[in-house]
Amino acid sequence: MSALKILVVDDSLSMRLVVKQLLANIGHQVIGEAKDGLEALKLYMELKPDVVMLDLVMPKFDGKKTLKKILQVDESAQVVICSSLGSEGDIEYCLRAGAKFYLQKPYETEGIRIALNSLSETVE
Amino acid sequence: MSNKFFGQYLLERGIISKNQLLHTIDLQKASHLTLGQIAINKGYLNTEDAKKINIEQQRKDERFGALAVSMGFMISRQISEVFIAQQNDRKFFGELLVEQAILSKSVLIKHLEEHSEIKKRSALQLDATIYAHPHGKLIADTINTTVRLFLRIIKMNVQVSELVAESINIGAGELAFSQSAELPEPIKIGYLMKTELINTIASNFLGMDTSNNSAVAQDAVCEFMNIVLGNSLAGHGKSALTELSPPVISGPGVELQAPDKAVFNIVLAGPDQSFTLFLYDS
Repeated sequence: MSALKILVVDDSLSMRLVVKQLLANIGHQVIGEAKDGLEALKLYMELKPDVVMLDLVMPKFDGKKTLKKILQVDESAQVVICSSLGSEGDIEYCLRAGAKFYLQKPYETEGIRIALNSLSETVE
Repeated sequence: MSNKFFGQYLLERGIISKNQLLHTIDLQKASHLTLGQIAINKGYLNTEDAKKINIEQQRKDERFGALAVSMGFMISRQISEVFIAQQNDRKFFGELLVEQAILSKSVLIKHLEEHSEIKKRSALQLDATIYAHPHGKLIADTINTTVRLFLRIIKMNVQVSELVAESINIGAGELAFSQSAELPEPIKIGYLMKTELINTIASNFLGMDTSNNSAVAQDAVCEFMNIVLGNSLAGHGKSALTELSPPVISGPGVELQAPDKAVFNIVLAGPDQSFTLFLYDS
């Protein structure tokens, strides 16, 4: 699969560092980083990434609200949730709201690879 | 490795797709009573009140349990009881995958064994007093998840000491990390540790030296805590949406005290380093 341009949204600086490294290891490029939902929306419209990797527990504007907003702006947005939350209710909520995949932290490179491969049919 | 809902475990391995996961959840829901029906059967709600909640649900983007509490019809403890009754009543997720011919029986058994083995691998034998607490299972899950993830990044021997009820003072060279969650009952969890251990956890977690960057080191411990609590909550109130606040850091001189007195102070000690995990009801 060709390299994807990815926007990473996570309030944790350390997690953004980890995800960036994992994505680089499998040949993808992080084109933007946001630490809350409002920054994410702004960067999404500016950068038009192929994929958004979105955390849920964030201050100000959390991941569930951000997911809905991004999909309002672009209904074809490819959003992969990357969260420490893992209740069935949270997973179901995000996937029904339009997220394409759900990764529960901590995840391995293989989990990211499977998540991104599941999008490959719809990403140009 | 962490606590994962079986459907999530299969999704992350590419064994089932998003659509298969959602459809199977739909089938599971169709196989049991609604929360409202269970609450009526238990005498917690009357039919009229259940209807009022359903009408409000159509107006707002909120779950039945949250609305039942905010509208004053039920209390949090009743919601938890009704959630548990609903979970116990329904068909198993794996059973429904076999019925749909998504998995064969033998493949299902293989994955169930692997899923269960991950949970059992580092489970500790904990004192009965922990389980006697109203949130005993959560406390035990949190300790086990901490140990499992802690061992994964720091390779140390861990022992859980006796429970001690006391307030906690943050000393020099220490920091406390705390986080709140709704189950829907409110609970708080905290870690108390020395700066050296913060650096060790952060360096192992990130795979880089953080000794010259305390902000990154503290951020890594917050994320570690976030992951532990998110994972330990995964098996509680399964159908509910989790409310988890971002972690908060407190420094020396602050006295951490539970609003309702009961503080659970559990020391996890290794050969060279130790930290304290505290859990209390809000």
